[in-house]
Amino acid sequence: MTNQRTITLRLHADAAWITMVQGVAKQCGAVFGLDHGKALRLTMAVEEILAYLADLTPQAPLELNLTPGASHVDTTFSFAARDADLWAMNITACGADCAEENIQAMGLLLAARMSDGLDVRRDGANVILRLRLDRSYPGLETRQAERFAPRGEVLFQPALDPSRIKEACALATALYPEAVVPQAFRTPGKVVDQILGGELSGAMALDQGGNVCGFMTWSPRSATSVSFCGPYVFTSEKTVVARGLTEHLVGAVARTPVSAILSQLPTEDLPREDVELLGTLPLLAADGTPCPMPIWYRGMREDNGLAVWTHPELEGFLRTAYEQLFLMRNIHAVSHQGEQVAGRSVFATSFQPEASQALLIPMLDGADASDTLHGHVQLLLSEGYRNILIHLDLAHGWQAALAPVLLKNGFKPRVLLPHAGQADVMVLQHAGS
Amino acid sequence: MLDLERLVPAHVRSFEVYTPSRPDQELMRLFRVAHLHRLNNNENPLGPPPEAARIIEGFPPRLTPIYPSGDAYALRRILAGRFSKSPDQFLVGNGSCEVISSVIKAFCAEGDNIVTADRTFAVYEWVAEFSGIEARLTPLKDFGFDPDAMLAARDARTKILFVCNPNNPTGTWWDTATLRRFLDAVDGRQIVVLDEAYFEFVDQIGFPDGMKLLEQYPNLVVFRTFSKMYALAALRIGYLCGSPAVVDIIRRTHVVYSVNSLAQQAAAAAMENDGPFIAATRAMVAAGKEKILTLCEELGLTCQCGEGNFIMIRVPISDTLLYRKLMAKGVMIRTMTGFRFPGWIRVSLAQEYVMEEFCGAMLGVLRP
Repeated sequence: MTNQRTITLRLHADAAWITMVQGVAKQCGAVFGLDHGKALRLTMAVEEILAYLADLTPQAPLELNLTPGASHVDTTFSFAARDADLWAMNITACGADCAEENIQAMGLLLAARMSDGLDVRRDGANVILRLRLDRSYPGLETRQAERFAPRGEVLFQPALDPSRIKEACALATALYPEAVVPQAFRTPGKVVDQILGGELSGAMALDQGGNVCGFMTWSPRSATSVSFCGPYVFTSEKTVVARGLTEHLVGAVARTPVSAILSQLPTEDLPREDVELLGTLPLLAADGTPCPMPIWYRGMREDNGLAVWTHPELEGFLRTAYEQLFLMRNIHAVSHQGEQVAGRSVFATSFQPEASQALLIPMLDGADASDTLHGHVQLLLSEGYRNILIHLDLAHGWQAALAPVLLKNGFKPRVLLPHAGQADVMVLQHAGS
Repeated sequence: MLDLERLVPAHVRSFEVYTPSRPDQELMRLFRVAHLHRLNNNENPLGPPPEAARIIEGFPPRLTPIYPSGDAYALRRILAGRFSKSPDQFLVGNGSCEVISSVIKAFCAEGDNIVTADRTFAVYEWVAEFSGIEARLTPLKDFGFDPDAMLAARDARTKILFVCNPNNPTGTWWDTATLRRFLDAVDGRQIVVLDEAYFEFVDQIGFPDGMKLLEQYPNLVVFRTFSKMYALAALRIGYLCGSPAVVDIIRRTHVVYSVNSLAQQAAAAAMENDGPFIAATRAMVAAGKEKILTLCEELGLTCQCGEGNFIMIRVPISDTLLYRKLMAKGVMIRTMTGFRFPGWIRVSLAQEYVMEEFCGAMLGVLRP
């Protein structure tokens, strides 16, 4: 669904339209609140993508949407593409030794570098390239803080007051280790815009003196799951506030389509009795320091089973995980059995540079999956990424069938995320990263 | 091309689809158990009453080609006789969910609202919301409906106040004096629905009988059901009773022919000689409560025990995890997260051997 303020252009993939598209992007960037530098980057990025698409699918019908988000501008290019053309969506399509035939992919790489986020998703025959440019926000001034005793009863409510949201960001940043505080908290104005714009939700704990005693945020992860950060507790007695914030989150998503609450950046204050530990990812910080990340789960409804796919090589891991979680699943085995696999494989990549983390998501199976994956890993390692993860949505047999390719390329199954995709999602991590 | 975005109203698009639990056989296969005790829906495992059972067993197939009585003609007469009312004061529906829908459709238009509690039978809220009507929810106070908060939540567009007495899932209840004060304060400005789905389970002095208040309060509408005490849940039959003028309005939005013949006949039979059946059920419920209270004491668990054939327990792990662990032992309970009571379960009270199995399963999970 498009935002009422969305600007839409319908055109053909033709380089002749570059100047026109640049003009629209520049104007929209300014109107939608990007500063001059960011608007310029948006202009250059759309130029690169249109040139890239003109080369990839010449004259194909194309829809360009520019939409203001709460704290960013989204630009999407929607077009129909043949499987064979999708190969160029791999970040490895044009590496250091970019062959002449792959030079077109350079545009995508350049656009990714100019933006704050680029992802590709596929919806049937339609491909959607989404480019995100964040607005610029002033950074948080460093401050010291100490936990305090609340004045009177602490009450919990949705976080909607900008001043208190900014105070909460500052307190969380001062009182918690960097690894468990979202990057956005360091630009509190962005968190305010995200919450008031409906992209992020928050719970706030306030005492009778109006002091901010705790904070917790969450946002959609999939159609049926949310992921949360926190709880961040600023009072000396932590248990009551942590429990109240967590219960507020659970209450807020109860009676919604959300089936699962999953942790993104959990703090040590998370009440353990109401959540289940799915596993711990042995992550590394950007400087190489071990930074193990536990992943917690809270089911929101009575789980009466799902059908999932697995390759026999991952079946043992899967069965153990389901047994430990008491989750009932119809597990169907799938593997390649000599059938022809069309085209080249595609893996979408999303980056979190601040966490030195890259996430790969299979978009298309192909006979060259192993080589493509190997290329991705090499490229990401050479770029200094310490944490390379891959997500398999077990609703899709073809993704599950990729298991031998993943294992051969050094990935190990780590955690199972219930309901995190169309079905459950298996997280694998590159062992060398 | 099908343009659902244009066709579907926003309030329907945003409404969450309710997914009922799977059939027992499917659940038993999934959880690899040989039996399943259903303690999740507040069903009465003793039922139905023998008179109704005879009707069900003897229902002649030759009657299936014939439409049922479209307005439950005979059953309404029996109900009228039992409660000393006119048959025109009753509307029979396909379960009380249908009469909830009829009442909301009869009185609410776009921009109107209903008021109820945030933690009660969810269907009042659901029907309002997927009909495009705002549901104003007031927090429970000490696990019970808060009359003052409900009165304060009203405005000029409030049409209906829904009160569940006793409340599902907390079992709390308003006594006659509280209900009267509430009705006096409303003073006919709104329709007050008194849902007495669990009325027949209550044996408390001071518990109000909505049927006896109808003459004095013409804006009162009482809901009852045959799904709970009378154990006819599979047949889906419930009814409402109100003043003739109010019921005449609701009848306009009520679908006729929605209650099948077997349900109408079985419901009528269920009331013929219900005294012994009700007494036996109440005894089973009382014994079940005792058992669970003892279990909670042994495990150090808080519970909320009120009226009705159910009890709520605060559990020390996620309610949804406990559900899965109990299912693996052949016991199905209701998680309360969806009722906005995260960390609580609701357990229906059943026969002694079932409650013993439930207690054993709880001990096995929580004190392995």
